[in-house]
Amino acid sequence: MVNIEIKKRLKTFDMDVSLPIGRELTILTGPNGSGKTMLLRMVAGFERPDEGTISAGECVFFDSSTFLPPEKRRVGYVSQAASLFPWLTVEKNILFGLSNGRTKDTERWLGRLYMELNLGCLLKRRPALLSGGEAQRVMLARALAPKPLLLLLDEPFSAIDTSLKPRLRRFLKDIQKDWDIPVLMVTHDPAEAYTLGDVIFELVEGHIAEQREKGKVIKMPFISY
Amino acid sequence: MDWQPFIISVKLASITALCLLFLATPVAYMLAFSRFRGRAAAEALFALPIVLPPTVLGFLVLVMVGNLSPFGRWYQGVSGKTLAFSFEGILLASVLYSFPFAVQPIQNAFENVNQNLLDAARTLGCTRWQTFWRVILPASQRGFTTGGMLSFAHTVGEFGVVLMVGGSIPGKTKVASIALYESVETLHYGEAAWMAFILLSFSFSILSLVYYLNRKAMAIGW
Repeated sequence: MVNIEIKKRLKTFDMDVSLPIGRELTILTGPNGSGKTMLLRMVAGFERPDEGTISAGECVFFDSSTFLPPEKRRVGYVSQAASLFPWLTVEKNILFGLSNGRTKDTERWLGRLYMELNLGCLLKRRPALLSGGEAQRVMLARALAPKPLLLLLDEPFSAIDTSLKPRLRRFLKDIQKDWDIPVLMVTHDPAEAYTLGDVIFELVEGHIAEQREKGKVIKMPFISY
Repeated sequence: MDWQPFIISVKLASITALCLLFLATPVAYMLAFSRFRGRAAAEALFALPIVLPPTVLGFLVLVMVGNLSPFGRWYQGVSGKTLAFSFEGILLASVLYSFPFAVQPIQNAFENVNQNLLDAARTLGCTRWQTFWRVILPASQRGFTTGGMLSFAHTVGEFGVVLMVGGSIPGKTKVASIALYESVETLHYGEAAWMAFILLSFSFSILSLVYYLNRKAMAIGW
């Protein structure tokens, strides 16, 4: 269970968000510049809220007396921007977050990641030779390899071929269930929000404007942007 | 032609470049990543050797290593020798003189490391220190090659500082540029022409290599 309750003063508006996330796939959507990425960055530990608390289970990431640095949070983070290490092969990129001792369990887990994300033939390549969609898949694998306690995804499928999207969504859904971890994902794509999301929050100017639970949705709103 | 001055030049330049790669890295890191008061002054201080007349720097080093300064007295006490007019003396002067040529490319490289890579490393469990070793250093490789080569070439090209601090002792502190100067003074123009030609082609090759490597690195998207 992840609890996010934060306030932060930004240039154009004040952010004030209270967001409980269970062991489910939570979608965060909303217009550009509404603070979605900022919220993810605060949970990852790159930005400091002005006040509030952020915690995952027993572990307090942030409160009035605590600020846990990003490397101690065990959060998987996939950003929109390319962030693969160009001097490492795809395989070494994926193994970057694993400490040296690799158990059988890790091997099995990696095997599954490679298969589901269709990475087998890419492992020996350098990131410069990957397409946008391939790079995005590798970043997802790299974030998942150390088995994070919480997964943050900032439009992870935006650059991926339409034909690959259903498979990746299913994979994400599967690992989220199997593994029982909270996932917080930002997306602009209403179809994606509705096929994937258990809970959907809409963020407007730093405030939660609307919350929808799956099954209670009757029609597809907010396609306007 | 006497090759010894060239050998001393190359030896001096290699050791200087090697020392600078180690000494310039923490300075470049500080200038690139920390915000502190007087940062502009610190940057100016480390860039000073670019614009300072070499004789000024040479004079300062001479005073610093002489027995008027605590450092000079300490060195004499420890080693029983004086730094002035010795190879170690011109090495010290070269390190100071070429400092900006090592710091600036490395600092540039540090500043240009993609923030997304640093963020990714942090979420993958790297502390700041580990991020430095695993991400910032490899991503800045180009800055290190450039810094190393430029400080090497710049040291080969120095004249005033070495003359002030080292004099021109054959086999010890007489480097190629000083040998050239002496050939001209003694009207040995043929020899001077050869030395000038060698120094010129050398400097041209090093600079071409620096530009070529930078271009190539850009092409593979590093």
